[in-house]
Amino acid sequence: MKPSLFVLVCLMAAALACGTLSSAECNATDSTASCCVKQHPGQYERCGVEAPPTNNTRMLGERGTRLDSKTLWQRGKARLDVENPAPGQRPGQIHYQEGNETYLYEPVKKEFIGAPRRINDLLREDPKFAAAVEKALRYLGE
Amino acid sequence: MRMNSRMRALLADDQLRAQAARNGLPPSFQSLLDAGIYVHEGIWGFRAMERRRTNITPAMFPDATGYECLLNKLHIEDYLDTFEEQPPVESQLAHGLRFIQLLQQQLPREEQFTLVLSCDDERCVMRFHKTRPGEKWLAEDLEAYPEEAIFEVSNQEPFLLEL
Repeated sequence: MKPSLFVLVCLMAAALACGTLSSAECNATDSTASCCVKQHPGQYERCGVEAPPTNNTRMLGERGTRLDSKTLWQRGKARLDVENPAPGQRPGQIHYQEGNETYLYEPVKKEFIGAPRRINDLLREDPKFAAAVEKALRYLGE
Repeated sequence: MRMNSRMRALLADDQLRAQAARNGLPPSFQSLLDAGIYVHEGIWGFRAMERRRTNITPAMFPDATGYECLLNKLHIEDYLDTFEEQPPVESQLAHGLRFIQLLQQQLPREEQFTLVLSCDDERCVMRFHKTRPGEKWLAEDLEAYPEEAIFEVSNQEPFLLEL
């Protein structure tokens, strides 16, 4: 075998071996994305997947204004309040309160989960209410 | 008992303090007291508000204090039985103080509770929670609240209006 051909064969063998090693990290249960993450650890964006949650996720309101309670929207006895009594020590929160009803707002899902439909409808149908929620988030530094 | 300088300035008004000491409570406020206090699985609250419609659960809070503080939150203006759309803050504060004073007497003396009254320029809110080691609703530094007058007192302290 000519030396140049020998080198070429060796390079091809090395490349094949490298590919085999990488492929060996994935198995039949892997999707394209999960296999990609295995081959490129930490490069979630490159693989088109969402990064897993980490332990150092921020506490809601930790960068916000310190306040016991602030009403940002009111209609009769119905109110939208934001609270952030101890930023960074206790999560801030936004809630709807009307007499004996209290519903917490979920900022990630952008709704009052489990609340009557009429309350979540306010988010879509009452611009002042929606603006109050946005203002509340700004109070919380979000 | 502690308060920030904003609250101290409001309470420097002798007339307001006298009003707070003299005032009877409006019927809806009084009925809240008359219904009494309950405790269920370690959570304390106003019995009149026990059957609350809500999406909140204790698991949504870092501790029982946070849960109680939302359950036991009152907007004072809702209980003043007035036709005024927005009763003056001074009036809300005077009634809130009177309410706290009476609630102090109603809470079981063998347990310690923290009662909080805060007012911004328009509204006053009151809440209470059981005092638990390592749990606080408010921050240590009450001056760090830029927009509110804050008052905090325990049920085991003397009559609060003797300032």
